[in-house]
Amino acid sequence: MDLLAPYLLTGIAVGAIYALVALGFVLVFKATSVLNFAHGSFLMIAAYLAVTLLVTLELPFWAGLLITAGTLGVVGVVLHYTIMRRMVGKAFFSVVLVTVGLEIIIRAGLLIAYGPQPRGRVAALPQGTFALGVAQVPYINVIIVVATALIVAAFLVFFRSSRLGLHMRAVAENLEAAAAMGIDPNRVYAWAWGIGLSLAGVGGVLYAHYTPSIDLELSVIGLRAFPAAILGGIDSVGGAILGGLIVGLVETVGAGYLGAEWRDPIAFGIMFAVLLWRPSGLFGTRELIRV
Amino acid sequence: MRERYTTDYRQDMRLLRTGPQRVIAGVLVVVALVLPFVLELDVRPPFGFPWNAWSSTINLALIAAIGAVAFNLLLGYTHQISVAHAAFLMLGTMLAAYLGTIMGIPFLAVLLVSAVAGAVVGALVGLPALRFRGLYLLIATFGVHFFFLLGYRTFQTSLFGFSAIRFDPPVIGGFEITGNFRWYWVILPITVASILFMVNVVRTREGRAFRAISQHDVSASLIGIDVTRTKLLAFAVSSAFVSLSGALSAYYVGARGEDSFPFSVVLTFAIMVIVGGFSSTQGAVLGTFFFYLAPVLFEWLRAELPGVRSVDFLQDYANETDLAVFGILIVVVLVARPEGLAGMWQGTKRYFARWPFSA
Repeated sequence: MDLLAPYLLTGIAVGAIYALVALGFVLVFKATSVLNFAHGSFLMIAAYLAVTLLVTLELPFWAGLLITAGTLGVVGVVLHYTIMRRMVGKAFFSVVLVTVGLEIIIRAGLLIAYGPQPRGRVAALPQGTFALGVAQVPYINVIIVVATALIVAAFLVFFRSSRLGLHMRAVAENLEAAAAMGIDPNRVYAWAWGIGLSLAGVGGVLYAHYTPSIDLELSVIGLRAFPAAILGGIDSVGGAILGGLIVGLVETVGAGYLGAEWRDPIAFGIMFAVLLWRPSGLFGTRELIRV
Repeated sequence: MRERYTTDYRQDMRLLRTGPQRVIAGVLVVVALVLPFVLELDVRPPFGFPWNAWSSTINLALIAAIGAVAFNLLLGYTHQISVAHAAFLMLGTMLAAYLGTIMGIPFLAVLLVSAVAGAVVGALVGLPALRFRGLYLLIATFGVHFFFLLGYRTFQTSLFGFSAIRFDPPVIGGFEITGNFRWYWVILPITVASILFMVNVVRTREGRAFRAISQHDVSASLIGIDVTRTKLLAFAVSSAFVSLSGALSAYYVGARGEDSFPFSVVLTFAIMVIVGGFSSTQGAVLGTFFFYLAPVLFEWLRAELPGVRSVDFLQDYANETDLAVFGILIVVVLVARPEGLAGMWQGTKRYFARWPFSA
């Protein structure tokens, strides 16, 4: 029992990062119906940017975070207006493969810019631990959870209350009706990509503090978006957050007891179980088939 | 060419329908038979064109073509978005390792067993397809990949420790198959036979059932197609050949390790199929050859072309720029020509066929 508490606490931090990743992924999917296989690569860009901004240039944490998130937001908007806009309406798998091509380009770019050597984690946040009951909790985990909670809350407020959030939900629900009401789908898509990628950016900066080393394998974290999004419901924004938390918790606790190589099978096992039981996840919309 | 279109039913049923198609097939046969001899020649072409580097690339491309056509069977003809492709490559590799390396069973028997096993396991993996479609099937088979990966890694570490699995060169009829030249003559008939088989499957009643359920499986069941049987059959046939190509490739490459099957393997096959031209066997083969030959071409262009050779940046970052150019090419082809390389080829043929009314 006294192993459970530290695992739970680590799991919440891991889950918070997964929640951020899944949120950005689901936002893009919900708005544009694009499965962004390159989501993890954008997170990787953010982690490497964090290395440059926070370690090499020694900027303060908040500056680095804002610059990274902003840069990735701009990247998202540019991505939509240059490439993704031309893929609207094309075959589903072709669009997915465009993101795969992007992943290859990003990987090559990062190799050129940073080289293949792994970097150590970024240490711009307070290191060290404090005692909570019987467990030693690293400050970083707490900061990750708090930061994620704040950002997610801000995002949800934006999504529910702002005009742009309303437009996004309208476009996601019925593109033609929204366009008929005067909503410009291009603008909505661009904003969706921008916000989705800047969420990945925040996740990347936070993850750069958490992960033991920063190398080109970081993008596999992006694949965690799948179990989290499926659990929550692939077109539910709130579900993605909850799904990320649950997957992170269960995966960490399970891997703690069974061994680290069980992380992947547990995460994808959850996904499989959800698919068997209820494919639309906790909060997703059920698919109706009409002949 | 007079016989450009088919004029009667019997002609329409043939594999090579028109005159031009027969000519192209004849040319391909001649090229295929002459190629390995030509590649062995000691030629010094201009600009240092890597004459001899093509042998291994072509062998690899031929093996991958089997996998790509099988992938296309599932993805293009039956529209079952299954990314469990690498799982069957792993299955073929594991069977080749266990039966071939450990038990010493002859090469051709191993290939046969891996095909049959691939069919059986494929039907099992196809069971989720009965319940999900589209996006959810993609995600379910995504999970299947990771389960197989765990099984493969366990298999490897328990039977071979931490070193790679090694495959001895096969011996067929007394000939030891080593070197690209000999491998070519083993790989070529297997590839041609496999692709012909799959092309013929599409031409049968079952193949038409595949296309029917690709359009709309609920409607297909209404006209009497047994959707369950057809879907499982599609998965079985496709997986049989993927497993076969996995075993063949294991023997050809000679060694397989823990990290030989990341998920990106599936994505490379998807690139081959879709950049080549969605839902056509021709496209799958073109895409495969593009995928394997393009890097060799890039390499040559970068190393030998006078203008390009002097750009230091490209020389220092050789691999990275190769990768970047490849990614850019994929994105450009998908955005600009969604019908892929096969579509571009058909478009070119149409242009010349209809000239001067080509617009």
